[in-house]
Amino acid sequence: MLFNSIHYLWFLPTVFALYWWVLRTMRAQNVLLIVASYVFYGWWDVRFLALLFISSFSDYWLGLWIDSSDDARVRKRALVLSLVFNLGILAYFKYSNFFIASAVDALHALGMQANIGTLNVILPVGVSFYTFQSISYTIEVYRREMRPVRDPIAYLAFVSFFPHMVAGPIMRAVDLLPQMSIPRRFTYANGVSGLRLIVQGLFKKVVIADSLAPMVDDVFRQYAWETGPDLMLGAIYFAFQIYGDFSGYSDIAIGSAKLFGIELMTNFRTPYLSRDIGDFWKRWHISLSTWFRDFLYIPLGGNRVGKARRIFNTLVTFIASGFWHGANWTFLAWGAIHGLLYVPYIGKKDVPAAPPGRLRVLVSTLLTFAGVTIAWVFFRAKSIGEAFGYVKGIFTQNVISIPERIEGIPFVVLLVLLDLLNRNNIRDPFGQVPQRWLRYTLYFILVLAVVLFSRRNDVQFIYFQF
Amino acid sequence: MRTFLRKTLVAAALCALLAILLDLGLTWRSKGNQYERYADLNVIRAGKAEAEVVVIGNSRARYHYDARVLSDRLDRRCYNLGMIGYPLQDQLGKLEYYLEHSPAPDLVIVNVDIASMKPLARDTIIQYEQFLDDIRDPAVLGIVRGKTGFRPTDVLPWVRYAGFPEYVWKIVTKDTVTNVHAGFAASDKVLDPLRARQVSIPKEALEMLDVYLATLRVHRQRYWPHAKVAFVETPYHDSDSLWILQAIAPKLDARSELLVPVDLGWTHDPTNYMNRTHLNAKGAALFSALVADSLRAKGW
Repeated sequence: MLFNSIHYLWFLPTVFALYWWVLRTMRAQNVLLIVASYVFYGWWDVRFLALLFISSFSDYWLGLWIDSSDDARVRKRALVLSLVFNLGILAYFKYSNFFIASAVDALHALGMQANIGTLNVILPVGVSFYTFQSISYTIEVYRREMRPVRDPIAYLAFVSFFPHMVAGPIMRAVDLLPQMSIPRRFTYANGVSGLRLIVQGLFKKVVIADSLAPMVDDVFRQYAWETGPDLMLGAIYFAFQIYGDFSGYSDIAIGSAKLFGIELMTNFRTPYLSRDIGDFWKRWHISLSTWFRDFLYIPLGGNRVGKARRIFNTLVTFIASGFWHGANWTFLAWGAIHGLLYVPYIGKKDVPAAPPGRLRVLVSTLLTFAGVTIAWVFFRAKSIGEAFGYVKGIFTQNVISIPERIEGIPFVVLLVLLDLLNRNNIRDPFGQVPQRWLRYTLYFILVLAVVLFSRRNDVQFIYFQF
Repeated sequence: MRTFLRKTLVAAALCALLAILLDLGLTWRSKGNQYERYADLNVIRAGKAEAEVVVIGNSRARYHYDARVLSDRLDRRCYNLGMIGYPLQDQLGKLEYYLEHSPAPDLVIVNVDIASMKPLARDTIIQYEQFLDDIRDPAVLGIVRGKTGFRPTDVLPWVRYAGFPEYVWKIVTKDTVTNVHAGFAASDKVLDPLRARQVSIPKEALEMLDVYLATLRVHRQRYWPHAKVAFVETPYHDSDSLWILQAIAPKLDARSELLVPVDLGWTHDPTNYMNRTHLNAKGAALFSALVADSLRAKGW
């Protein structure tokens, strides 16, 4: 089920009503959340509910096994089993065809012919998200950062909790599981900020991202015929499309969770206002970047090693992050570009000696955005060749010309304004607008715009494919 | 919880009220439009579309024929029934709707277009905005109900505009000359030569020609037996569909059908197009004049 579908408009209030008025005990509420989450997920494809259940239950059981033993080898064996199982699911569903195709290409390059067919595999929605969440649980239990949960209902509710199951935020067990094990309380403030986040998220997705999408598709499809300025606009539009799409999803997820008295972590903090690439990664897809930091970068040695090793670790982490997004060389390139952009900042102190001037802030923000946008071209392109062709076109194709594809600029400006308005109040947008009439006017404009811009067919979120 | 629910419901009710007011405003605004044909089906229903020559076809018919130019040159009332995105069955459905409210025309210009011959899933709605103004009309509702893309909520105020923000913008700004409902596109947009590419016309679709002609003839026999049919070739940028007329020629029923040859030597000129497959106002005026002249040469 999509957040931006008419079904969700009925689904959410129904679950909300049952949750608070019919099922008042914590356990009953958790059962409801599991049922609702499985309905939510099964709406897309019932066949993969079994996979979700098996993946969740195996980690629940492995968590107990890890905790039950003091023998380091046994604990490690259970952890490895969890990693192999979860990463195996990912490898099969997400990467098998990529590996087969790459092997065939490699053999072909060596002058050998291989007649290996690709597999007919459907990628289950959200598999990268819920497997990573499950992995975080077993690792945290292994590291003794948390005790395993004994209640299987609470654990299943933690993995499958519908607001964040298919596209995050990727919650850490240590943050979300305790919330599944204590009675929840509805508060007016949570309810209001939850609804505000949902409306803002829908606006970002339906009005901004979905309006930019056809322009982006158009430019990328016929990039060879576009002028340089139009290619540049196309890349900027994609930067804002993916931001509106994904942060919109996160807003709706966080807002929906708030309605059930559950707090999800913030996933975006006005990332395009970042001053450098390190800053960007503290603001973009925070749940994923912190996951890779804690479960890959730090175990590789983190900042405790020499500079050369840190550079290597950084590149590995970024490339892995790119590969997490999808089985394509373009995602690896995207990760590698971010890694390379990050390298110059390794070893530099986070806080500058003196606060930078406004002009310097503006220039560094624009430069960071430019680097991120170029990387997005690789993310969006179908192949590395296409990405290079696109970037080359920006600087070579009719560079001195007036851009024609200006119809997307208002949507970009709207998203920037929304970010500026809410930059100090990410978790409660519009909450700082003091005048009630102005707040309500904003709500109405946003809701009516969402209705007006909603498409005939619901448009899927970009991150569902990961 | 009570306060939360009360305030949420009040806000939702206010929002609904606002939607109704906005919808009323848009209806009032669109009725004040300078083009009477803004709501095409409404005009037909009101019997104001009565004409001696009508044009049927898909978007090429809609955009390429300037009914005013045809009327002036032929000295007969003309009306454009072009239906964006739809194949022959739906085009004939619209003609049928027209015939329910107006006497049969003397001549039906059939814009010969390979895209009209493509079979279309009957449950698909294309360019919903063609029906938007008439969506509450039971006849129109009957056409679109049950088709993919139509939602029961689409009869609600404001919700019926969902997916067409540019349409609302056009009503608000009265920018209706470029609107599809204006009878033809008076767009002065010119095709960018950089983006102009050869239009690929799948010749395999000619397999459908016999079905196409048979459907048209059965419909004519049943609903408009006294009218003649004029087949006109449609222009594409840097291309033509002359081969379709050539395929029709040996199958022509000379008693009721005529071929209308038009000089399409100007099709390579991008200044006549707003995109690769549709003429702009300049191109439409030029093409309509050529069609009218050719018809006159044939005694019309």
